[in-house]
Amino acid sequence: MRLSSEPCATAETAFITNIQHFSLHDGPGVRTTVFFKGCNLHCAWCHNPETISSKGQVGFDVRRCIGCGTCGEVCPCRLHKMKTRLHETDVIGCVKKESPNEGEDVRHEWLRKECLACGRCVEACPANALELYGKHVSLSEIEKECMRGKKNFPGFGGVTFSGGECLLQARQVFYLASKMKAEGISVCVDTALHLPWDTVEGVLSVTDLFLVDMKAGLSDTHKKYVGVSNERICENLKRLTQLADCWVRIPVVHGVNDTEEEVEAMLNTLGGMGERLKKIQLLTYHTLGEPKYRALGTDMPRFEAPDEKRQEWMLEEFRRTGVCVEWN
Amino acid sequence: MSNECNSRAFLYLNLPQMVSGMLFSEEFDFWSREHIVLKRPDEADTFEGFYEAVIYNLSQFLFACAGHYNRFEQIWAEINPMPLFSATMQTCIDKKMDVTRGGARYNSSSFSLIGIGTFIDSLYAIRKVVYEERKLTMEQMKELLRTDFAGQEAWRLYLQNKVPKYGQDDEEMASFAGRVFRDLAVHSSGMPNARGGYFEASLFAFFFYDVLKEHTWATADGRHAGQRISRGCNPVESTKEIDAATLMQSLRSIDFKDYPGCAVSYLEMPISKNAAGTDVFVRILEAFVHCGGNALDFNVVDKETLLQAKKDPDNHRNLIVRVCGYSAPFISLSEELQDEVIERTMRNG
Ligand code: SF4
Ligand code: SF4
Ligand code: SF4
Repeated sequence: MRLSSEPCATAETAFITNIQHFSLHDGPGVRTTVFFKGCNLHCAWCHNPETISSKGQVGFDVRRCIGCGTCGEVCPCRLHKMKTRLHETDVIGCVKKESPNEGEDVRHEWLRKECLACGRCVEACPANALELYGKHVSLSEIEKECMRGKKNFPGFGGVTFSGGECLLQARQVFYLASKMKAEGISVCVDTALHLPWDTVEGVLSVTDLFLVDMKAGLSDTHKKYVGVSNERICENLKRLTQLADCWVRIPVVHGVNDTEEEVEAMLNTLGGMGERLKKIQLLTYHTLGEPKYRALGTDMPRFEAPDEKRQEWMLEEFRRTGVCVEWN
Repeated sequence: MSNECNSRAFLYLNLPQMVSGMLFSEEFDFWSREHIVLKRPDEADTFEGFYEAVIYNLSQFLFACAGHYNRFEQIWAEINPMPLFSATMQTCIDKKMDVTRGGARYNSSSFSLIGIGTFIDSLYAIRKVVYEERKLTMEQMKELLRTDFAGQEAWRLYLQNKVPKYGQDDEEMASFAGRVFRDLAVHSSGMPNARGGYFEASLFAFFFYDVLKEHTWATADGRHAGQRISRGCNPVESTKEIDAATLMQSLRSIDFKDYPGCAVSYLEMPISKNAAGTDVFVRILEAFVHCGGNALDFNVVDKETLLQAKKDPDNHRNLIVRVCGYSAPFISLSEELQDEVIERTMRNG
């Protein structure tokens, strides 16, 4: 994986989807999390589907659309069309709406595939039915946002760089993390470690804690659900836990990685880790990403969460590593 | 033991409706009843002129209210003296004076201003859309308000979603909000009362905002007539992107020293399956004090609120719930998840 897959044009901007304040799940304490866009994995259960593609995307929430047609007026490619009389079969990816102005039905037709994600329709839509996923934001602006937490919260936990895979924009992460360090702000890097070791090593000096996502123990399972095998990931994790504090985070999906073989394989991997593996967080599979899948025009693949008995059992199993384990 | 007799909660002033009263002065007779000669804001050529007129009229009105109140306060001692209450205060005993005549050490009165968030947003929307972008004339704006945006949903949504709102991260807005807070404090305080004390500014209404909403017409921030108005010194409920962090940030627009009569912030806490939430409470309280906050009203969300939010998502955009260790805006959840969360609240009592 080469760093040139970075979607940003210059070192001065980062390509991100969102900065979330008051985040309670991305490392210790109350944190500010920066979500980078672009990921080199493709987990079947991904709950941030808008962060996978390294290109800009537009999400459309049909339920909010009032069919006013403003988007059509501003789109340089004329991709939004409001049609008043249409046969069901002509409809491409659209809604039937009662126009509030004339009292007649309007169908909103949008050629999503041809969208350049220029953001003009998003800007113009009065109903906020359209949303732009992915913005090139200057590093100084991101830096300012991140500093805000420190100003407002005496017990501020720090900043977490997440995504997507934030280390696909390692230069940007490095720059921002160094700035944070200079201010005495703690830095977490949330990564899946499917990267050349050099890249990970590059941010070692400016990271206080790595949050490493582990998807599956068996290589085959990994390949099946994530798209690639996990050798390099395990290798990197082993090296990393010798050098830096790490938490391993495992999204637990029923029938995928909560089986006995799977848990055993994960335990084998984790058993060989260095001292600096501080915590294992088990995360229950959830469907919070559903609205985003819908907005992106795809169906969310359905999985199930492990039941409470399974959760208890896994907790016990993982405790055998001697590392602090928690369900989150 | 207390040594204060503060007179409050006798007048709740609905700020957004005062603006309607100025824009549609023909339909409100309180101006003439109070012999106030109105400065017509809608005739101003600039936003400065508009704003000045609004503040001038408000100050005249508050002045009149203080006058009425003082008239009653002067006969308070005769019709309802309070010897027992007075006997609990040292200075009343020293001065041999009843509280109703000013026996206490602190003798303040305060008007409570309601809906300041809605007020700020409405004035700002007029500034942006009528005076700066010139997308609407004043007459068109008035027509939208008069008809409660009938047939003009796109305009209503534009005003609601595309104009910066108090509480959002916008510097120009923050400085405007700061100005409004300052000006309102100046004009609702400082008048002497009949007990030797003064009027103090305050922003609270523990539930009254809910009673008033039905009597509040449509406002220029895209709020329908009859919908909720903002609470205490909070931003408006329908403003998006307001989390605990932004709420704290918004407090920085306010100099709470201007509001000794109390300015309340409300915060709905996410409901949580386990007790891990206590840490969050601590952090928020720390942050609140750090940002100079004055009074904080915590609410843990109940079933009723969730049911309402499901029905009326637009007015509950900032309601955060916890779902298996994650926090998410309630309205962003799928219907089945919403139901699950509601059910869980019921189970937990
Ligand atoms: S501008 Fe927004 S509300 Fe209007 S038709 Fe387009 S998507 Fe729908
Ligand atoms: S993002 Fe740009 S290209 Fe895509 S639909 Fe909107 S206006 Fe058209
Ligand atoms: S690594 Fe994270 S962002 Fe990437 S596909 Fe998997 S869950 Fe989604």
